[in-house]
Amino acid sequence: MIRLLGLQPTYMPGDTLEFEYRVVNVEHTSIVAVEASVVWVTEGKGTEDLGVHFFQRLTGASLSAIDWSIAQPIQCPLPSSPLSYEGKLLKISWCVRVRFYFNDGTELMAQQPFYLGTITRAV
Amino acid sequence: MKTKWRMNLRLWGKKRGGRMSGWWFIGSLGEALFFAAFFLVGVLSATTLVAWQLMSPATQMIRIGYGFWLFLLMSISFIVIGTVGFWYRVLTVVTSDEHREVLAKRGIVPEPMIRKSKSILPPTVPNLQLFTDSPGARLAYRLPNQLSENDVLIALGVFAMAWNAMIAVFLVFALESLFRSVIPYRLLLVLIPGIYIAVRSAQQFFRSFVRTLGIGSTTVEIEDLPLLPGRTYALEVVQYGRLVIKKITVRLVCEEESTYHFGTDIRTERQTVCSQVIATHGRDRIDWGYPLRMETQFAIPRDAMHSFQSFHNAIHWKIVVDGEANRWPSYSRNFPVVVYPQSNISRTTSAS
Amino acid sequence: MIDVSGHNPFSTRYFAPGSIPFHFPEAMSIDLLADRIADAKNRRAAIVGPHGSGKSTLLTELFSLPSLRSRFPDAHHRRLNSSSTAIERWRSSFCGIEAGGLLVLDGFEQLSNISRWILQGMCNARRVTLLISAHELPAGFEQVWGTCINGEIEQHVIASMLADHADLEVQDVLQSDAWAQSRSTHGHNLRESLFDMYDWYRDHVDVPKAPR
Repeated sequence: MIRLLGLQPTYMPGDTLEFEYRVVNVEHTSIVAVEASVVWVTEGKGTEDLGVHFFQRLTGASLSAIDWSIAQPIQCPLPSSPLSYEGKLLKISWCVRVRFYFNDGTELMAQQPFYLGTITRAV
Repeated sequence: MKTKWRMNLRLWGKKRGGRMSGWWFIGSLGEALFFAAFFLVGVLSATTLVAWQLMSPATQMIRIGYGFWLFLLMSISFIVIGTVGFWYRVLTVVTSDEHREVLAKRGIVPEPMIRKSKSILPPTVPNLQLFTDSPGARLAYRLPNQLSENDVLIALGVFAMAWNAMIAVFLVFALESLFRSVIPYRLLLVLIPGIYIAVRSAQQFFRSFVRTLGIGSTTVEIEDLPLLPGRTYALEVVQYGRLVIKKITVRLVCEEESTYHFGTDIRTERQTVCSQVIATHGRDRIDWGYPLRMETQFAIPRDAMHSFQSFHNAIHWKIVVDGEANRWPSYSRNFPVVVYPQSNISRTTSAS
Repeated sequence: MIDVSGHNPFSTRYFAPGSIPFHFPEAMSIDLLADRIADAKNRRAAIVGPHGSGKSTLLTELFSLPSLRSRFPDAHHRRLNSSSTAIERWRSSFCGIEAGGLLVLDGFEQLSNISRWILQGMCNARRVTLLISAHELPAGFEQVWGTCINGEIEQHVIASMLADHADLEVQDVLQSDAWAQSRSTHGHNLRESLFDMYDWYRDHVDVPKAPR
């Protein structure tokens, strides 16, 4: 199970997003890769678009050096756009995603949304 | 000098002081028609001369010599004068004198309030370059028209001219064959639909030209770009042409656009999420040289969403000019603008 | 578990091909359909049905079906739509298909008659099985399945879409005036009705929530 910690519900553009993730009830030696990302996605009546603002992939030596008994911190400054938006045809939402890949071919994913900026509805 | 050149070319339009006479409309249309005919006569005569020499040298209708070259030179002159005169007349109608002047004097127009730096361009917001490359006459920027009717008119004109010239050449070859008592069946098969298209394309062009002559172009100038939520901006709308308008409405519009692209379907939907009237003007008469000027101010709502563009989804802001006129169909012209996110206000201001 | 509160259940993410399992009547299954495709006369199989009736969904599901992939190790899934250029159509239809493979072509009708004829000739020469979707059965193809929309399928689709949305019941949708009106307008095109229900949910069910 993946736990995402310390994420605030709302950030302003230019703020630094800080959060931590940890994995519990998992055999640490079975982890082959970990991906952490900060993304925006559109949702609504159109085909979904996805923008990756931050992406980190850990494999091999960098992965084996990790002490999984402590939470792993992530920091990234947020951009000025796109701001979170809830319109008539589309929504723009931000989230952090963490994926764990295991040696049996399975994967575990957790994501948590947050708002960028104060805009939520179409004016 | 420029005025003199124009006066030399103007055949039927008369000028009374600074105001054009009532014949201006018929004059402009007549001149365009005249030069188009000039061009076609040139193409026909040049083709006839060359074709006859190549295909029926025995007839020796005009022997190669002083007369032949003089006649050929005259035909080419007809083509050149016809082309230049036609396009000069059309382009005079579709671009305003002021705009041409401003483009020539690029650099003396008031600078926008804030200088932008490329480094602070927010992601997923449309590139500002497309909107700021045209300076205004009174305000900083002249906004581009989303679907320029002038571009459509010019494209129609180029097509009609090229097609008619091609058909004229084929016609000469067909006549030359008939003159030799040979019926050119294949050529006639091409010519019959070709002549139909030639007539229809010319008809379409002159219909659009008449509409452009009457309604004229609309220009919108704005004091600054990009727009920022919570700020107020000066705007000037100028309506050219020669018409009696019943009403002109200027609106600030925000529109969402979503495209669904799955399976074999492509489906695009647009929805207006914000539309505010920023200026209206009632019944008035517009004449050539005396356009209608509307100066106004408008504010972007403080909590407005910024412009957004991704692969399948977009949020567009635009200035929409809706016009209703006597004897002309109603028209609506869109002038896109870019709204930056709120967060860029403080940063851009502090950078300036 | 991903939180779906605040998400419109009629967003395209919930009904895009691959999101909802295709619903077969009791006597039929996707494995039986795979058998029909493998045994199709002259290796030409067609799934026929109107717009928005689930042809693309079924093709997507078939393409990832292990029993079909084991029969055709070299399988390709290509989509053509009205915005595809001529070069894209040619490239996506004819390139990179091994002899004895499977070409799943969604949108066969986007090809010109000449292109269809050439494609079939090339597939014949390489013994490639061609599985297509079309609105009407083209000549030379065997119809292996016909998609159509009925009450049972509507119920299945809506139930699948609302599976993670506790704030709305299937019957709330199916018994709404908006649904009845949309179905009578769009007939066999279920997808257009789902688009209509997006607006209905936004305007009648979704309650604006403050972010903080």
